[in-house]
Amino acid sequence: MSTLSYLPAGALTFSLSENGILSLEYEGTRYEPVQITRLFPFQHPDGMLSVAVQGEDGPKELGILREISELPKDQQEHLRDYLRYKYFIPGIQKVGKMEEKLGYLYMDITTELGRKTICISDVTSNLRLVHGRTVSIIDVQGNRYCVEDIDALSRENRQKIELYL
Amino acid sequence: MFFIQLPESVELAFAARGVTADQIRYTAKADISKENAYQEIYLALTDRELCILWGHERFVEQRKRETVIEYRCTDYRAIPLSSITDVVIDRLYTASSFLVRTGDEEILVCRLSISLAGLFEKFRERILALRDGLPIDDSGLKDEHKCCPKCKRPYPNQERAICPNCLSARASFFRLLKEYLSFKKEAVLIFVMIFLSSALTLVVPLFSSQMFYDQVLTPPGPEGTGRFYGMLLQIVLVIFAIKLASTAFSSAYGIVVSRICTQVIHKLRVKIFSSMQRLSMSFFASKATGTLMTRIDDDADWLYWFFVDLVPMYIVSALTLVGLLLIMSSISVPLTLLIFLSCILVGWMVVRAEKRLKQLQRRQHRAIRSMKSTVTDSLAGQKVVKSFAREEQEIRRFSLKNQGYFHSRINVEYFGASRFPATRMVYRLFQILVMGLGAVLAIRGELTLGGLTALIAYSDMTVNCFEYFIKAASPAARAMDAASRMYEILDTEPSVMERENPVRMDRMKGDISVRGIRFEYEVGRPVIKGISFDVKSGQMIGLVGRTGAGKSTIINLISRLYDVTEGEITIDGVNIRDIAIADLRRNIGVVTQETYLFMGTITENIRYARPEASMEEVVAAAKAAYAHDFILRFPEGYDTVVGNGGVQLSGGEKQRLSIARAILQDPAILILDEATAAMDTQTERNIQAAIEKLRAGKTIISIAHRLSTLRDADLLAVIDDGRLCESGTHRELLERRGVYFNLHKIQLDSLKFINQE
Repeated sequence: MSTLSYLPAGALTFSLSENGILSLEYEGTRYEPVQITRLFPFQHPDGMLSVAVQGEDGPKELGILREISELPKDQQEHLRDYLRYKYFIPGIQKVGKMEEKLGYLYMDITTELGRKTICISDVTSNLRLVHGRTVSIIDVQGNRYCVEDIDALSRENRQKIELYL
Repeated sequence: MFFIQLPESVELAFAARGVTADQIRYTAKADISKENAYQEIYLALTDRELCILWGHERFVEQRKRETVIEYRCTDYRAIPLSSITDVVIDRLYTASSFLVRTGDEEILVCRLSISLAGLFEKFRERILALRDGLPIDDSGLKDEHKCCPKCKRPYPNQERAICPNCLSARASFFRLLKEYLSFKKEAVLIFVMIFLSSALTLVVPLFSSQMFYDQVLTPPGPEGTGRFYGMLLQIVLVIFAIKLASTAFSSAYGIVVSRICTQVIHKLRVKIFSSMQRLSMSFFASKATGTLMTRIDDDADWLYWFFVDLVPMYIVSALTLVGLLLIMSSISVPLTLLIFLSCILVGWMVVRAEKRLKQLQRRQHRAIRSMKSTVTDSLAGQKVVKSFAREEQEIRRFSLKNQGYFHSRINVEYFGASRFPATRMVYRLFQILVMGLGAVLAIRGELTLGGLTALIAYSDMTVNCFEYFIKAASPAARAMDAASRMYEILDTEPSVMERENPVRMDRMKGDISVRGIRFEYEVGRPVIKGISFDVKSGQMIGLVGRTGAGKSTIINLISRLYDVTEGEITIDGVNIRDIAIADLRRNIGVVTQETYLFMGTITENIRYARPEASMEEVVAAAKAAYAHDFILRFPEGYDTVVGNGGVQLSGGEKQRLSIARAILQDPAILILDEATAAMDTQTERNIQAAIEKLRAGKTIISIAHRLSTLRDADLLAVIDDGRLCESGTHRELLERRGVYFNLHKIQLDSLKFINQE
């Protein structure tokens, strides 16, 4: 089995530009842009992060950051901002009208970013309960949404979604 | 103006800032602000500037008309094209950033959902081309509809003429009705019989209750009662005759309706299947085969039942309800009102209960599906289960799913057992109330005993009618969904269409010219990114590259299974879009790795390309394809049934039949897509020899992973990530020491490795 190469949190200095480009200083080298990828986006969103930089033949993994919380406070903020920026998955707070038309499910939702009407095809595959109580939704345009904790929704809203789970 | 149609309010907002519609060459719309919030950002590209509007949209729905978009602009900026040094689309996980770099700053214009990235790639190319004054080819561009132009809701599929949200069930119903009304005489007959059957059903209680109690069982009285006192047998016979006539009419209309429906459904099934045959590959690629089969089969059944059962019963119930209201009112107005009131209340309770029951049944349906897929999953993976000794884990997994199903089923049963009797009880209570009130009216002489018993009988009929309307609503909606789905297929325009007066080319020479072609299966994900090459008649070209490089797509484009989005392909100097599709396909033979054999004999399968071929020709083609020997091993020889339900052939055998098919077709252009991949080395050599024989006078396009099979090609085109990165002969490419050299080296090394083993 391969050994994982964990990055020492203390040796990493991340910075995030106004335009969302993340850079890293590590062992005297400055890398820009840096790509962070969640290895377990649902099970462990704030840990087990792959840190990759641009190599000659494409992205190259520098190593894995075990926990964001191991970084200094300001660094944690940079990284969380970046992840919010990269994983643009608006959280659903309220569910409005849901109606099925010809196999497509139209859903009026209120997310933390505002209201939207989405259209979902093949509901069984694109509206799923993942890892416990999180609901993942992918619309016909490939956009993703999530309900972080279905139990946190109102009873009426929960029942509407549960019908499709 | 590409790529999106600007709403009027947005056009006005641009115009107010000095950018008129005729100045705008290209448009785009993003949906996420730079601050990561929902926002509508409109971009307009003119010959001199990139103009950006930031703001918010509001939909104003108009009755029966297109929804109007109101746009409130919050910011505006125009960037001169001459100042732009670069445009970057930074693709992240689920969203991208659109950045414009000028000499002194980097501007994050907006962010966009993943589905818009492709459109912005094209927009970016046009910004740079306009800046540099380069020519732009827009011939393959189409308007992008991310939202329905009418209702402005998300549009699931651009090939749809109407979005699912705008498809009206009523329109589908009337369209279907038209099909049925083509049987005019039968329709009139059905209506007359339905009318008579309903009228007779209504008359029965008048005889069996009112007349029976007031005229037959009551001695003659001063108020005109007892007119048929003691004529028991006659009245019973009249009631029997009415019932008989009613049943006869209802059976007769049932027979006529079934006959018409069978004919209409048969016609529709043929229509749908024919429509599917003329549709392009993109339609089939976007829909699972199961879904399409459901459309031909289940949807047609739904419509059958809708017209055989639901529609006649709807008419019967509606007529009965009107008749009931009239007859009951003639007996007693207050009691009629009370009965109708009770029916409405019961109806409301049933609607609520049905809604909840539907939810529970749906949950049960999902639970059973989940349980079944666990069983399938576990049984299919038994080898893995056993090798990891995880039987206990699988039992636990199944138990969990089974328990979920058990609970959902209990809920359904419990609900059905408790709620519906309660509803019935409420109705019975009302009936007792009607009887009590009726008794008071009878004692006061305002109602006869026969009238009261008739009303009680009618009240049961009334509640049955209400219940029917409620219970039929859901199947009716499903049937209308089925109708809309069927019309969706009938109305879909094939994406590959033949020109009005196509060029007829009976026999092609086989000169192929591919000029700057681009293609994407999904908007925003280009697969072919500008490829050009020429093949002369009689030459062989080998397409080489990694899996997913776009080689098979190129041959799909040459045989016009899809149309290029940019550039052109010509055969003998004629654009393939101008050639009659039948001529094009007849002149191109394709042998792929995935061979499909239809249900039928080996002869029928070989003859598929040329049904009129003689037996001798079939055998000769099979011999040339090295299929003859294995065919002879079957007791039924060339009459052996293969395909679904027939004799199972190996991949290599299937492929040899497919080659025989192509040999019989004798096309001017032969495409071999990994045609010998599923064969052993000896058979592959034989097939190569067969192909060599075939080559004479034919243009051959061949894809093969084993580069040794393409060594003799006149030209090798190396495709990488949708681009032509090298071309030349085997020797030339080896000397160049580029991508082909590397691929060749890897294959040689692996052969050496095998030899060492």
